[in-house]
Amino acid sequence: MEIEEWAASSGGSSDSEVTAPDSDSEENCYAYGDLPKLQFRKDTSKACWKEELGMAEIVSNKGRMWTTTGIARGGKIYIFLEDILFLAEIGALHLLDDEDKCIPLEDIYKKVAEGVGGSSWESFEVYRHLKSLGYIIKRHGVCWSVKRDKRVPAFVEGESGSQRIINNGNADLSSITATTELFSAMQITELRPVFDVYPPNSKFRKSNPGNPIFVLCISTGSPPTKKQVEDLEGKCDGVSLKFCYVEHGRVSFFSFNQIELPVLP
Amino acid sequence: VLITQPNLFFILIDCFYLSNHRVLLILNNFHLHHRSKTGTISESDFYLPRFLHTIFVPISSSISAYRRQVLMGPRWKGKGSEAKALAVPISRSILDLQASLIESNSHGMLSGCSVVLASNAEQTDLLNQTCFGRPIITVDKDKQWFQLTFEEAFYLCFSLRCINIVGGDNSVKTKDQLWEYMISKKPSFPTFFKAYSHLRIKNWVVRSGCQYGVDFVAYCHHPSLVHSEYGVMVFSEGNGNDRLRVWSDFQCTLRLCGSVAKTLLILHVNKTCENAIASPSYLDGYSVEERTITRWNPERCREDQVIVETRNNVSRQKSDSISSEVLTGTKMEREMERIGNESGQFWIFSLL
Repeated sequence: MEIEEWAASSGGSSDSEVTAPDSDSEENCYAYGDLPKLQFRKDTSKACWKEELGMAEIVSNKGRMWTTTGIARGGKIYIFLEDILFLAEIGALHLLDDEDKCIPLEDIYKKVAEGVGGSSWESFEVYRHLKSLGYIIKRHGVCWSVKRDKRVPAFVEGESGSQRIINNGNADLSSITATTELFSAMQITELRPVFDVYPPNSKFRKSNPGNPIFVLCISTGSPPTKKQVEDLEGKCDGVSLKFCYVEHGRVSFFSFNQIELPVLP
Repeated sequence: VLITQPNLFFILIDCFYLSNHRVLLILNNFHLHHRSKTGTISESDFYLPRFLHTIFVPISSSISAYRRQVLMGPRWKGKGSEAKALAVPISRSILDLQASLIESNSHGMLSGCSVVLASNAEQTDLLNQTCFGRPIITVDKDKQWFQLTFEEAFYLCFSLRCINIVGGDNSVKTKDQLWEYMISKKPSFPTFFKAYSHLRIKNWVVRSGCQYGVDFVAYCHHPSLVHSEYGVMVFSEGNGNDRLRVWSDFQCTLRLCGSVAKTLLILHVNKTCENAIASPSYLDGYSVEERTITRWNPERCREDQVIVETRNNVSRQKSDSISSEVLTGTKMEREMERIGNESGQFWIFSLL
């Protein structure tokens, strides 16, 4: 599915490393009354909100976005709040409650404000920014898919160590929610890996996703110290790391790469 | 087949010419019975067999699986600069400078936070070529005068041993006296000097970076031939983040660096002993780690950059032909993507 680049909100700066002049003066300032409005798509998917999981279960999937969004468990797709809000904002998803009534956007914003399911406004802004550009994003520590009839117990990666999962979709999901609860309870200023980011890829397969191009840590306070960077690199086992922070709706990304300058002739 | 050390050898799969006198060798590695602790090949494990050293200089290698190293070649100024630079490497100019200063028994004069040095015609050229000191314009017809920073002066005196330095009383200062004096004027001198010499030992040209809001700027050759590659900041353990404390500091410094096309390089100087360093011999106990801080722009993630990725031992590929096509820019990336998906390991070499 083509995710078009949306003009408003968390647009990244287009600073280049070379001599191009600053081109960030093109802020989108709207005069009163001329804000664009998005239309609902013809083929809107439907998802059912599961309060106990803090996630939604897809009940009707339309469009090709589902190859790159959501995690597969027991033959179904589940999505986190950031996926929900992103798709709801652009009219690609109807979120339904237990009585099949559509949950309005306002209530979804409320859930994010409350930090339901380990979500946060800042992490949503980061998610939206990258997703709009076509990147494929998954929460760190969660597997893309767990096969239904797997004999070998599936492992969920996580900072708390692997957890043995019974051959049961629900047990796996509740362990995910347990982990996200843990994250929510953590200090807000603590730096941790939040998303695994994969490059745009029309042939992406959840069953064989390959490796992310980087793991993203979101900083809410000060920039990381060298020690923090090293600790996180150790945890991420060879996958490269990026750090970002959100300020006033702008997301900035940074890499702290270890290098070794060559000895010149 | 290139055999680099017992049980570690590479098969040359393919070879491409890149722009800027660089060659891309696609190698497939078989490391039998050889694994480092982390299961990856470290840079020191890999060295070219002797005959290849006369043709290639490795300028890039990626180390652990999935770790990417962004390689940006030096930006030479105009045609012919790169050739000039390769013809007379900085290391040779420094050796010549060293010899000349020793022969003339040169003495520098301590003055405040500088050292003033007289030079003859030959030394003037060499000091300019190697970017030690700044020439002072005077009417003196017999001598040229240079002023050196503490780092430059101490490097010439202590590391290269080619000048002596005298104090106001005309007595030659010992290394320990000089050290003590310089620290008294500039308490951060030990870490700054360690960082400075770390770069100079690798034959990088190092100049002051204060007008760019950084400590040093590093060039891979003379600034007239090449644009600087790195804006360097020196952090010491413990008070590293008092220079870049909040995100706006990062934005500021990166903005400055970016507008002059330099990459921000942090040199973390680690002291192994906490005691006040009484003597420069303690410098051996310091270590330096290099880290770049770069902005990542998701809109422009792949443009203008060569991404080098290694994968361990995936599959074998045979190729008898050597491509003579010149690969640049996006075409090169596409080629590397294609190759990366199949097999092998990338190394970029510079032709000597």
